[in-house]
Amino acid sequence: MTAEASLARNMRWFTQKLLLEQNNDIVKRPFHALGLECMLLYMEGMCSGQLIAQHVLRPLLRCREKVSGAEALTLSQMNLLEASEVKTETNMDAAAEELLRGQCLVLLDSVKEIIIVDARSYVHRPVMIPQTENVVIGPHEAFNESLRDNLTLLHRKLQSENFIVKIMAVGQKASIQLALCYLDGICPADTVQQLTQRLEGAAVDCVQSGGMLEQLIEDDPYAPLPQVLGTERPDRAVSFLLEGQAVVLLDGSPRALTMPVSIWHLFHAPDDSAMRWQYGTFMRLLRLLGATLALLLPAVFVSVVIFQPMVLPATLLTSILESRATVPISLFGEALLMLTVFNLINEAGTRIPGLMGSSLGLVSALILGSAAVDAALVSPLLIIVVALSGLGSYALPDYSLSMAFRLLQLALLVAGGLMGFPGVVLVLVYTVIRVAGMRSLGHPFLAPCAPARQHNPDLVMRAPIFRQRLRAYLANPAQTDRAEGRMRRFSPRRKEGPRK
Amino acid sequence: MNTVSSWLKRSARTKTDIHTQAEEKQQRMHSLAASYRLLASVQIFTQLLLWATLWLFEEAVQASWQAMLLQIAPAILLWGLWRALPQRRLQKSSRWIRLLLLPCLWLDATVLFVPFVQFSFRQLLSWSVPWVAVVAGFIWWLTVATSGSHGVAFGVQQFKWLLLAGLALSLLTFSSGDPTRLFPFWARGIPATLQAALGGIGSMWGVALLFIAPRDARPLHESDYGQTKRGLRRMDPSLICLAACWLLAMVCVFWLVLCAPIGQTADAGVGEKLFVMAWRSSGVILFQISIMFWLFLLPCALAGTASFATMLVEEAMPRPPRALTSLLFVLVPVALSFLPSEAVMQVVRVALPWRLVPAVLCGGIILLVERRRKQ
Repeated sequence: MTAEASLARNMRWFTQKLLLEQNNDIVKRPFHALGLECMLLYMEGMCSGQLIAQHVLRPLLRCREKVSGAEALTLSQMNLLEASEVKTETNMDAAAEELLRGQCLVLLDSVKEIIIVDARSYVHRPVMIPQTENVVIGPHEAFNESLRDNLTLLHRKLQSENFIVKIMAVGQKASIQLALCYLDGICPADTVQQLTQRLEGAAVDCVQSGGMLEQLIEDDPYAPLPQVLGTERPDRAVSFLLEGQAVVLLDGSPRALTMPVSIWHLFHAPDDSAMRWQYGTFMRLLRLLGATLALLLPAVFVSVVIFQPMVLPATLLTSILESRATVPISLFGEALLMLTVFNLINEAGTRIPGLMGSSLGLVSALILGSAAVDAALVSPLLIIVVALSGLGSYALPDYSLSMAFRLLQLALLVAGGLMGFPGVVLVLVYTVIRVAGMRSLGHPFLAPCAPARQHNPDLVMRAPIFRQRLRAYLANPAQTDRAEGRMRRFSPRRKEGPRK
Repeated sequence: MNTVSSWLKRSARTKTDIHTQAEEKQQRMHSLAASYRLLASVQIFTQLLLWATLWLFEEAVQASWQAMLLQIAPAILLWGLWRALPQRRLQKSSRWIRLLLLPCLWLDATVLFVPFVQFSFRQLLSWSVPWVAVVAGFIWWLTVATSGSHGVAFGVQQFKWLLLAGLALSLLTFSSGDPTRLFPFWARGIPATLQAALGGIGSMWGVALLFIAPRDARPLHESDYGQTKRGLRRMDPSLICLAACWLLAMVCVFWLVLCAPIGQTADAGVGEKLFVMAWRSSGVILFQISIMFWLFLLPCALAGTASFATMLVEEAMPRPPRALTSLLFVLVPVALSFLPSEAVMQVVRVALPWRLVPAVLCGGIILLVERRRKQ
């Protein structure tokens, strides 16, 4: 619908479209200025009343000139309105959308365009420390729910002329703004095109969170692992941009979605690069150990004790059998019960706010654990096994990955409990092959290992920063080198100037 | 040494820096080809090892390693034939002709699946319930059906070190071998050796798999691997894979000859025979590692057979969905596993040497068809 020169007609359209008679949240402020009937429309709470009064209403009301049509529009836009961003729109639907996003609309009689003034000011959470990606070394800023703030954080960290931000909208009934960010030249055009297509193809009434958007744009919704990486850290988002990946920021979501990713991205923690390479490598190895424990320990323990007890040393086997002598349920049932209880405590701890959550976890683990052992419901060794595998799952840096591991842990436990080692191996082979067949924005999920692609020594063992010359295989092939020449242009032992 | 390292680099073909879109695409193709070469290598190695463990060793102990040595001759001939095929995409009729290889894959799958069920469920767990074959078959089908186009190749690539490490650790028991078993050097004479070798001649049919998988056409850069002088012939990566499989199998057969208990497996079941590699292990850990080696090797090879079969069918007939193709492929070995395993393996054993015939026939016909097309 195109705007007309009649204010009355335009207002009739807005009244019908936005149900203005029923909707009390949209402020209508009629006034006389420039010798014309005018109307100011804005959403209560989304705009600053003070800004509107000072920089929109006052200049217009004080102007004594009497003009109409295009002249009135030019005068208002170029001379009178004092806001930092003033634009015009002929499409009424687009103008209505801008109004719902918090912009202020100025309608002038006899003018065929609608003036849009940016006077947005709404409450939101300030920039705080990350909730799920804490680091010891490294920045402590996290994204919040405001798209503008999040983009500012990125701009502040990545001051490059190649940093492109494409603003788009998603949602058919209630559209939400999102920003597709990438580094021009480094991010392949194919990646941008594919991601844009997927974002435009997300046809739902409303996208309420980044998680919802993630499910709409990922490659394989039935795959066991996430194919989109969500981060709440601007520094991490910037590092992905520099690697040639694309980042999507959704208004109202404190997580930036990164695509394409590989399984290795999910295993890497934010402060891996901030630490010296020896410490980073050590932490990664620990994390890998944690992942292995989380995935395999309960299943292998149950398989060994039930089906292959001869593998265990006699003393250990005796102690296991003695501790299980009074337990009335089978080892498999016991393990399944303990893992379920562990996940229950975890879920309850997450839902209960703040300190109470951690207290609940601690109390549940201590009281329930010792009570279950005292009541001879579970054996103490199994509690150690479940606790170790739980610790391992907490060591995983990505929450979605941790959830996936917990589900796979249960599947492996069932296979191990029913079919022993052959079952565990079958499910493990299935899982690895399934994950190997996964893709993230068309890129193989196990790359650069399978298929082998060029990469830095930065998958499990992390080499020093100056040995990491290459960008990821996900970047534009013409921009694979991170720097020209040596990355450490001096020798600590020489006294002469920098080397080329 | 330089030549060896250049061969290895050439077989990996992925470490070279890339700077253009074309190079990037080529690297992707090389990596894919490398993954499939590894998958085909796993097939060849597993078939050789199964043949040696299940049939060769007990019947011709001293002739085993000589028979194994002779296997390289048909393998090289087959390699030469398939190598002569053009590297471009084959025409439709040639893709249909490649379906001749399906019976070979079915035989491979049966030889893998029946021992796997026998070894893992009947032998390890002492279960004889039929549903374990259904469950194992279901997971096998699910693996292939949901693995995407190249998931099996990429996934099996992840297990390569596990398999190699298991093999190496199992072979640690070499030291306890009995070298007198190698004498007399020519065992029971040349005719008996040839007879033993003929029984396993079909195990080498898998060479054809090295060529039905995606192939890499040329090096990324002219200067690649590149201390080689201009005009010097380089070894084909598929030949390196073939040589590696054969060498590994040779080592295993030597181990069997030196270490495995003779006479004790003559009347043993299929699954029981697979324990043969672990029987002389000096410790329980090595024993378990040997078992784990088979436990991983067989499902990986099983997934490979179904993946290759699906690939052949998909290229000839793109219409049937992957899930259906793989299901039809998996059903035959699963159904056969319900029959008495010894009887199945006896019947299959007669057919196994003949796997070489479709492989040669298929390569020859395709060569003729493609040559005629070129003319």
